[in-house]
Order: sequence, then structure tokens, then C-alpha cells
Amino acid sequence: MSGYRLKPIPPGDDVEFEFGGRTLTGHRGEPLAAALLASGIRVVARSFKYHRPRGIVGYGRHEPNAHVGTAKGNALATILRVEDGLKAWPLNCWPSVDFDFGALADRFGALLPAGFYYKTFMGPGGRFWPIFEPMIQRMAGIGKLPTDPAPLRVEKRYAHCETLIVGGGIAGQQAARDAAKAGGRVWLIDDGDVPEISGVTVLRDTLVIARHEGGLFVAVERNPNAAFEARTWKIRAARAILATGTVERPMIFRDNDRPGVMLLSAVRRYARDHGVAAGKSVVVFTNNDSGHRHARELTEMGIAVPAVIDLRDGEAVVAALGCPVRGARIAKLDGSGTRDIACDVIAMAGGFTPLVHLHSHAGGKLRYARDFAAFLPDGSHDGAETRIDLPQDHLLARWEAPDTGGKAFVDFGADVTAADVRLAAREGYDGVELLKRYTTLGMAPDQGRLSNMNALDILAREKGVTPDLVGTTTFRPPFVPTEFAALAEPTGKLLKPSRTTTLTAWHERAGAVMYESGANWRRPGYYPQNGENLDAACARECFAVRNAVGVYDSSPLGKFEVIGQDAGAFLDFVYATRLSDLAPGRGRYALQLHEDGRLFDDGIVFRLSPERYFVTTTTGNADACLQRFEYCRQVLRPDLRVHIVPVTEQWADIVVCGPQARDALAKAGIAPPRDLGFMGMAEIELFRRRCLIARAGFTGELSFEILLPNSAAPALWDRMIAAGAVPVGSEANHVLRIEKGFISVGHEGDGIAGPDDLGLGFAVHAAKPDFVGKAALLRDRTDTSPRPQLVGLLARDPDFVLPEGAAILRADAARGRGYVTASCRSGALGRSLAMGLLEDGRALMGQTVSVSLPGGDAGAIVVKPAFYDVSGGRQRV
Amino acid sequence: MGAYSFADLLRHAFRGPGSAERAWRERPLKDRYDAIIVGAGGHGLATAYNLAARHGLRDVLVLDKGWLGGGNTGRNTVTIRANYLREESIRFHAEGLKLWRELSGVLGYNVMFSERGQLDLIQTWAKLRDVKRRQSTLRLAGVPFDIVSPVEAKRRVPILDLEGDKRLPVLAATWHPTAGIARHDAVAWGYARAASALGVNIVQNCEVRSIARAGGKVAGVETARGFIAADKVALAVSGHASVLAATAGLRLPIETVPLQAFVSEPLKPILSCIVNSPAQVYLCQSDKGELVIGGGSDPVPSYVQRGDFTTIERVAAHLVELFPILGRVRMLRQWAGAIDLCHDTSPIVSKTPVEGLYLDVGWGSGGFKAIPTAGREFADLIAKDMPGDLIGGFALSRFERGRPLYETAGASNRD
Amino acid sequence: MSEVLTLVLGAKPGAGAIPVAPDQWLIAGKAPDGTLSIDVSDAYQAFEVKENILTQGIALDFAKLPADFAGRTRLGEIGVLLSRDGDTWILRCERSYAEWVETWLRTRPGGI
Repeated sequence: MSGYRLKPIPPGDDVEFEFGGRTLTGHRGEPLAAALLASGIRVVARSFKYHRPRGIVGYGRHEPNAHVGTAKGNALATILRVEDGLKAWPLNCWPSVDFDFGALADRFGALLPAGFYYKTFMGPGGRFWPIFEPMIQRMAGIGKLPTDPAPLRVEKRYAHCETLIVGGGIAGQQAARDAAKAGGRVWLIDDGDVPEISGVTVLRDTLVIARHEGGLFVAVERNPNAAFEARTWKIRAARAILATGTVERPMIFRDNDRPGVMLLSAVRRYARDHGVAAGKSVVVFTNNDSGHRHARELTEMGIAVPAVIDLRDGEAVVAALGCPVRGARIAKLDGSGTRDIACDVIAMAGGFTPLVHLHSHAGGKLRYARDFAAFLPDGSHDGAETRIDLPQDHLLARWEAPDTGGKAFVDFGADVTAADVRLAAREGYDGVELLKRYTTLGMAPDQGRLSNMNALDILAREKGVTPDLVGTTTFRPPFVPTEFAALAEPTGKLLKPSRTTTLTAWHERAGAVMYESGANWRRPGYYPQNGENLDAACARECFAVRNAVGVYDSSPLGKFEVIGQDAGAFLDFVYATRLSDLAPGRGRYALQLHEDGRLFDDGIVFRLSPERYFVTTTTGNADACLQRFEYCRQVLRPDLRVHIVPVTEQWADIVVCGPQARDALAKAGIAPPRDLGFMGMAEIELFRRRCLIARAGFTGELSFEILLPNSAAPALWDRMIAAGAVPVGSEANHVLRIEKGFISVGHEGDGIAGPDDLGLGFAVHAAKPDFVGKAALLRDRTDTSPRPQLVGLLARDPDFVLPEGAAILRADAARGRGYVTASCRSGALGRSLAMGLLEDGRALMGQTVSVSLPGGDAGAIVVKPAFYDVSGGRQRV
Repeated sequence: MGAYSFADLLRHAFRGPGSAERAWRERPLKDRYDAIIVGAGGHGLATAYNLAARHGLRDVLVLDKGWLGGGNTGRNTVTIRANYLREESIRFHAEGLKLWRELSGVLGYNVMFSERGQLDLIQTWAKLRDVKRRQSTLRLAGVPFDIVSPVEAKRRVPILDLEGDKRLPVLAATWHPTAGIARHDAVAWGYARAASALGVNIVQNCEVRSIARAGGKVAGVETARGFIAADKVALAVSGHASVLAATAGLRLPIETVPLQAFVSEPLKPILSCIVNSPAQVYLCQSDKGELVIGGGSDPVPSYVQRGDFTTIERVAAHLVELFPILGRVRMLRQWAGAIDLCHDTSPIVSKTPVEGLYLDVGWGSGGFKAIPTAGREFADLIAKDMPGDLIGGFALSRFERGRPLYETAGASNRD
Repeated sequence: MSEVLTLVLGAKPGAGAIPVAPDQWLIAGKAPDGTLSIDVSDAYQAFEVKENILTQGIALDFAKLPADFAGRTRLGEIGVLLSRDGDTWILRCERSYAEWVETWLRTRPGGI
């Protein structure tokens, strides 16, 4: 036994818990670390690289070693609280923390200096790494996955204040009182308990983990009595005071990582706050006044301190003896006067390192304060001022004892020794960032909070410069490791918005297979009846459209009203197609191009009246179109008087298509104007609402597109179904449009093809003075290299459907010259059909090309991309 | 200086750190070099190495405004793969997979290339169509790439959750077995060491402020330490490529955005391959046990190497949805790199209208994997003033000619 | 909640109008005489929401907003309209997002 309780646990506050299979007793609510110390458990973990036995070094967040496992994940023994039924276990050891096979690594430690893995495990030609890698992986790593699958219960909240104070110590409380007097909303956040302060909102058990630009602070609240396990706050503060305090700096000597070597501040906290003595006899090793001051406090609390070894007196602890510690070896700095003192704790007091992480997170710079041998914020940054009081302790800027061999650790968490730092510097990794990356210094879960300054000191000495010329590495959020679930937003069904039409409920009731489609819309792919598969349902739906009548929910289509006296001129500028000469009541297929001349979007634009257009775009591009329209209106052509109103959400769009479309409409009580010709649009009244009806569609059949206010859509849909129209999904639409050779921007658009490549040159009116993409189109004509061109493809075997995406081969067969963009089995033509983009495809009409397939290439004949009703008579009837 | 071996470790074990040799040397700056490479990241150092090793061009200076490998070489999430969309990209990166396998042996420095395969999760029908096209093109290029079932995906990545009614269910997955990862810093250090041994001078903390021209030719560079002349100047930078090129009068079609990365606490091995939910979240497990995680880039262009919190939330959300068991695993560290993106998302490896000025820029989020191939091809370009076949598609002139190389396929669906 | 909504184009029609674009205002009710306007009654879904819920997903500083606040903001990935009605807020989203927004509201601690 080593540690003990200075006073007994009050009756009723004692609880049993389990650590590594042993049942122990602790004080309810105290950190597990305190209970382990009090129970005399000294080895609590194995180290990362060498698997050396490790004990508790620090307190609270500042603990490099004591990672323990629980059913709900990995935690620090210094944070985890003792409760009834707590079960925790040591990590990174097998079979046990007291006897770990991995510790063989320590025996060969001399062969494993910093960066050892860069120099070996290669074998001839570097081919042996795959053999060594898995062994290294198993040795490394620390934690395991949680065994309890219950998700973390998380809340999220935004908050705003005029003054945010981070840290509820003396400085923080004073800052809060001062700020409260000055007025405005004052928030004080601390990860422990803080008294109420009048006029201040206090968040307890809450840790600020990050500061971002613009005064955004992210904090995680852990209230054990609340419904949530973590409440993540996103706080905007006009001004912030960072009173985040300090962490004590360790000393460097042989075997300074042995269980029993601790920070003096931690020994003091366990005694003062939890009544736990970390050991019976504490030797203090310091380089400043605080070591003496705090040693006296220990004595006053009844803990024996046989010696305070002070580097300023020319003496050092040169080695920890025993594992766990049972003594300290003391020597003069010249190595003389060696003596051993029996003790079970060596307490390190190397001065204090300010916690400047939050200042640095958002880009604040630091300056070196020579008096304290510490980096401090160089003024305030982005509204945040750091207030950290450092005691004047007459510190001697030396932390390292004379080298007596063995390992003297700088970074416990990452298992980096002083010799590693020197080696790295001598090999040329002598900048702080290179040092960090080469040795992994500061990359363990504690992010080098205890180690960075000592490493910088060694590096500076190696280079013969002062630490300010070495600088520090960048502090990265989060301040402490934080569960991914506490950061995740939004989750579950809310992960991504999902959009429905007013008919989605009907589609789902009808058993439609729903697809995640462009722009987050959920829409029907096909409506299987009586156990039909996709092909059967799709064929039935296509048959209905070609021979009778189908009805299609096209509501997600992008829709805009463009209104104003310059509406025509505006559309002439945004579209490659001329639209200013459209007669009212007429529509035209129109193209938008990217600035570099490639196809951006297509759709039909109708003119309702001289100053009013109704514009449709593809579903996927609807939002991008609005951005483009407004960019053109506000930035490129502010001279034009025009308003752009997105009305996608106002109008449902129901397409009734097929040779019997007119009869079905009549049965449903809808009479389109007699003179409504192909590509015409007219207003009609349905359900006492103003609606629009157009002769347009994507199927090549007689087709009426009815645009009506969303709330009226279900009634019209029901009537069309009652009138015998067959509901049609996007799979059938795909087949119908291939039969017609209509392009789909998402398939044939491809990102590279221009309008001429796609056979859409007819829709580009280059005579217009200017439009987006015109300059690029004219320029493109100077380039004579082969372009991808849209073609139809007929597989040699009419029963074989060419796979979409399959490459089309060049004559030399080594490289692709195009690919199949869309493919289907056509019921109307009784064979398979496909379209593709093929280099110089139009020059290959009638020729056979090879389509590359895993099981052997398939021949296909290149034809014009139109298969069904090529003259287009059916849609014009 | 030869290849590192176990003997180096033995020597060190017996003689201590005093026996250490510098991995590379910084020599005094001269006022003229045959060639200056701006950027001591993986690309710049690999180029310098190849200039010296392949072309005997050893009077080469590599300059960096910060530390060696401190840009995107040291900030990326180390994925090495060839499952691209366009044939030009596929052939380039397929060559890369070959070079990566040999790299440790060539450099005598263990860059820890680990061919562990990449699993891409397909969660929309549009993406499924996209990968079918990739599969066919990749097969032609001889790159193994298969479409597999969700069950097979789960077999490869046991932490993947397929249960329940997910917002974005896994519809299928693709398996690209020759993909891998490497230790990013080691790549920069290994090339630096090898280049230095051949006589290349590497100077850190010396910012190039502008590129000097004499008429239509490049004259040298203005640096924090004065003017240095050279007949050939090559930019191998990221984050400020467009700013630097502008000093030579070139306007590049590049936008700079932060791309964030995250690591988890170190865990015992739980993930044996790279797993990717395209544009949402991707992860692999480092040899130290940390999960190395990335996602989509930040929504707003910026040169800041930090990152936007909503992006962190979004990446974490996708992570936790796909792998709920990681919900209680803790994020250890977060950072960002500034990536340079051309609007067609392909890089520029090219001559320029300024004679003697060469570009290897605009690699977006994909620069790391390109290091060995780009280093070789860019060195060939600089030495011969003629692009090789593998980089012909990445010429700057493609934008003038209306032949952009879009790596992303059309995004919309069966509408 | 279903309601008559009008989008007024050009000039602000008066108090209570929600700015939705530099030249467009949404008002509850019929178009005022003489304005250029269109009916968007079917384009939005409205929810009455308590501030305590909104602060879980909207980054606005509600305490600083005027009593007659009306404007456009974001709820996660989507754009929404927000206007104040005493102690409660009216949150309007585009109709296609209504199911998503309702799920969001329902699953907040203290939600509807």
C-alpha cells in the first residue's frame, strides 16, 4: 500500500466499483484517479510505444497516462467519477497491466528511437512493410470501441452574450463581477463548480473546447443529472476573457515516468480536494519557489515530505528508483554527491505553463515571457483577451537533471524521451513542427500539454538559441478529446433534408419504390403491382403511356416566374436560346450554358404575357439556376428591370401523357383550350384556383402538363387515376425519353459536352448580341480535336441491354472513346436501345463499335439518337 | 548517404544521438541556379529529386516559406487511389499506384505505403450510375474496381451499420483493392533526403514573394532573402498558387478553400481499409491507431488553414450515422489545409505563356497521392520543356481550348 | 397552418412584410392595391414555435431582434422565414421541406 485516505469516507458516501476486475471502494463522486490512489493502485496503464507501466501523473484534464476503458468508451481516470457500479479497466496491456507482453518493446528501446520506423521494416525494395505493419498496429493504439451501443444523448444550443468568461477560477470570477457591473449579458463557463454571481449566467461542468473566428466558442456541458449526456453550446460572444489557468511543468530525469512520479499540483489537489494522499512520503523536485510553497501545504495536511530538491541549489533528482517508485536518487549537477532517499512519490514542480489554447485556436499569436519561461498571448485577439496570472516564483529555466542513462521522458503520452528530441534535432528535424511530426511529440490524447515546453527547451539548447526563436506548434481544437456524437449535427433522419411533393403520400400508399433523387427530392421510381419487379412494372407503365394514358408527378421540376418589362431581354442574356421573340401563350425548349460554353441546364420557357415568363429548369439545378438568375440580374445586368420569383414550391406539376390523354382529361372534367397547340400554355381554372396547362412533356406522346397550386394537386391526381391514367415513375420516364432521344442533363450533360455535341445546336441562337457562354462557344470552334458527340447505339443483340456507364472502345481497343450514357429495353420498339457520348460519333453513323464488358465486348451500331416516332408527330396531335 | 536500414538503428543504439546524420542539408544560398522550385512539399521535393536523379540537373534550389512538408503534404488524409472518372486521371493515378509500391525502396526511407484497399459507400442512385461508368473505364486501364453488395461492405468494414431505416441507406459499395495510404511526412522527408544527397539545396523559411520576368521569359524569384536568378522556375505550391502566379502576370482559374481533417483518439485496430462515403466522410486508421477522418471542403473560399464549425458538425454527423459505434469515440485534433481547386477539379501540370515558368498546381484535395507521378512527370516537363503523355490532359491551355477535364459527373438524377 | 400568402415585388408593402429577396416581400394576406404581386399561398408551411426550440438550431441572437422582426435565416441546411408574434415565433419553410422541419421540431427536447 502506498496511497491512503487522510480522512475516512463519510458513512453512506462509500461506493464499490471495479477496476481491472478488482472490487474497490471509493468516495462517491470523486475522480477514479483519487480512488485508485487511495486504494494503493499505482500501475493504472501501459504506455503507448514501450508499454512501460504507468501511474497517475496529473489531475483533471491534464493527465497523459491514465486512459481507462469503460463500456461507454475510453476515459481519463482523472475525469471519470466514481459511482455505484462503475466498471473500468486498464488499456494497452495484455494479459494485464502488471504483466504486459508488449513491454518487450521497452527492452529493445535503444533500437526504437524517434522515427525508427522510417529507417527499417522495409526489406529489399521496401516490400516487407506489409508484413511488419500489422504488428506495429497491434502494439500501438490505446483504446477500444465502446461495448455499450447506446448512442450518446446530445443536445445542441446556440447562445449569445456580450462578455464570455472562460474559466471560473479567481481571475475568472473577478472578471465576471467586473463585466456584470458594466452591463450586457455576461456568461461564465467552468468545467467544475462555480458559485452564483449576480448578473452572470454561469454554466458549470462545461468545458470550452474550441474558439473559432468571429467570437464563436464551442462548449460541451456534462450535467450528470440532466437528460442529456452532452449539451453542445455554440456561443457567439462579442468579447471574451480567457481565464483558463495553467498546468504544471514536469521535470526531466531518468525513469521520470515510473508510477509514483507525479505533478506536485496533482498531489496537492488529491490531498486538498479529495482527502487522498498519493503516497506516504513525497520527495519534491523543483526549480522555483512554488515547489517549496506547495510542499509546505502537503506537510500541513499531514503528508511527509522528506526532501525538496531544488535545481537552483545545484541538486537534482537524477533518477526514480524502483517501479513503482520506492526512492529517489539525488546528485549534484556535476554528478557528485549521489544519495538515495526512500519515498513512494516524486512530485515534480517545474513552474507553470499558461493554457493559451483558446487564444491560439482562432489564430492568436504568442510571445515568449522570459521571466516565466512561458509563451503568453501577444495581446488580445479577435475580441478575446487572455488573463492568466503567473506567480513570480524565481524560476530557474532548467528542467533536466544530469543524464545518468536510461530513459528520461519529455512526453509521457506519446512516449518521447529527451534523447529522442535531441536525435531529431541532430537529424535535421529541428523546427518545432518537424520535431513534432518526427517524434510524435504532443500528438497523444493530451496533445502535449505537459510536454511541449520541455521539448522546446531541449530543442532550443540543441540549436543554441532561446525558446522564442524556436516557437511553438499550432494549438488545434478541441481542447480536450470530445466524442464525435457531441459534435455531430444533424443526425438520424435529419441527416440531410428530404423533400416531398403533395403527392408523395399517395405514391407511398400506392406502394411505389421511392428514390432519393436530385436536390433531395424523394420521388417514385416505379409502382410495382401484384409482385412485379422493376422491369415488369416499368414495361407496363411505358406501355400505358405509348398506348393509353399515364400520369406523372413532375412537381419537383424547377419553376420560376420572370416578370418585368425587360424579362425577355433578361432571358435572352441568361439563355443561349432566344426567348424575347416568343409569342404570349407559347413555349420553347431552351438551354443555359456555363461561362465556358458547356451545357448547364435545359428546360421549357413559356411566355404568359409580354412581361411575364414561366421558366422551368431541371430538378437538380433549380437552386443553382436561381443563384445564376440573381447573379445575372444583380451583378451582370443591373440595367434590366426584371424580377425573378422561384415558384417551385407553389406549383404542383402533373403530367398527363399518352394517346388517350385528352379523353382522360375530359373524364376528369378538365377541358384544355381547343386551340392549345404543342408547346402552348394557357391559364385555366381548376378547383376555383388559377392554374396553367401546357402542351409539353418528356415522353414524345400527346402530353398535357398541368401546373396547379400544391394544395389542389391531390384532388386532381385522384381524378386522373379515377379516369384511368396509369401512374408512371422515373424509371418509365427514363425509357420513354431514350426512345425519343431526349437528353437528360444529369446523364448526357456529363460536365464536358457542349450544346452542339449533344445535337442541341438548334437551341443556340448565336446571332444574339450576348449571352452567358457565347464567347466560349465561338472560341471552341477554333479547336479541332475530336469532341464527344451524342449518338444512338443499337446493340448487335437486340435482347442485350448495354450497361449504362460502359466504355465504348476505339478501333485500337486500348482506350475508351466514349461511354454509354443511358440504356434500356424498349417495349415500343421491341428491343434494347442506348445513347452514348462518342468522340466524333456523328462521323461513325452506321458503323459498329465495341462496348467494353467484363465478359467480352459487345458490338453496337452507331445510329442517330432518336428511335421512336422520329418525325415527332405523336406529340403534336 | 545510402538507404536507411536496420544497421542505422544498431549504430544509433550503441553510439547514441551523437552518431546522428542530418537527413538533408541546407547549403548557403547562391545568387543563381539552373532551376528553382517553389514549395518544399511532396510535389516540389519529388520534382527536385527527379530532376537530379533522372536528368542530372543538380543545381536546383527548393524554397519554402515555412517548414518542409508543412503545407498540404502534412495536412492531408493520405489516401492513395486511382478510382477516378476520366481516362486522363485514371492513367496518371494508376501509374502512381505502381510508383508508390516501389517508393520506400527507391528512397531508402520507409514511407509506409500500405496497400489496404478502399471501400466507397454508394448511397444515392446517381452515385451508383457514376460508379458504373468508373468501373468500365477503370477496367480498361487495368485498375481493379468492383461493385459489391452492402453485406460485402460490412464484411470489410465491420463497424459499418446497415441496420434500421437510414436517411441515406447504403445501396452498394465499390472495392478498389490497390488503394492505400502512406505516412505523409515521411514522403516529404524521404524525397528531401534523397534530393539533398544528389546535391539539391533545400531552404526552409524563405518565402518567394514574386516571380521575376524579363520580357516573355522568367528571370528568377524575389524572396525574403533577396533576388535569386534562374532560367527555369517551377511552382509546386498549394494554397496561394494563384497569388504567386499572378506576380508573373498569369491569372489561374483557381479558387482556394479550406479542407478539414480530423483524428480520433488512438484505438486498437478496428478498420483495415479506407472507407469513403463520397463528399461526406472518409476515414482510415493510421498505424498509431488514430482514425484519420476527412469530409467535404468548407462552403466558403478562404486561405485560412483552420476551418468552419458547421463543416465539423456535418462530417461528424455522417460519421456517426454510418458508424454509430464511433459516436462515443473522441475526436482528438482538427485542422485544415488550403486547397487550390480548378473549376473542372483537375490539376494544372503545364508549361505557361511565360518561357521557363512551369506549374504543378491546383491539385485540390488529391495532391498527396500524385506526388511520385507528378514529381517524375513535372521534372520531365521542366527538363525537356515538353509534357509527357500522362500530363497532356492537365495543360493550362485546356481552359482556352474549351477542353476542361471535369472530374465530377453531372449531379442531377432521373428527373 | 394554411394561410393566404402574397409575394409583393418591387417596393416594401409595409409593416410585417418579410424580406425574402432584395426586391421581394412576403406578406400574410391579399396583395395591397397597386402592387405587383403573385400568390404563393401554397409555397410555404408555417409552424408556431417557442424561442427555446429555435435556439437549438438557429444561430440568431433572438434577444437582440426587434419585437416586429421578420426575416430569412437558416435552420441547418435549409432556408426558412421567421417572424415574431409576441412570445411565439412563426417559422415558415418551403412546403417540400415541411416533413423534415416538423421532424426537427418534434425531436428537439421541449419540442412541439
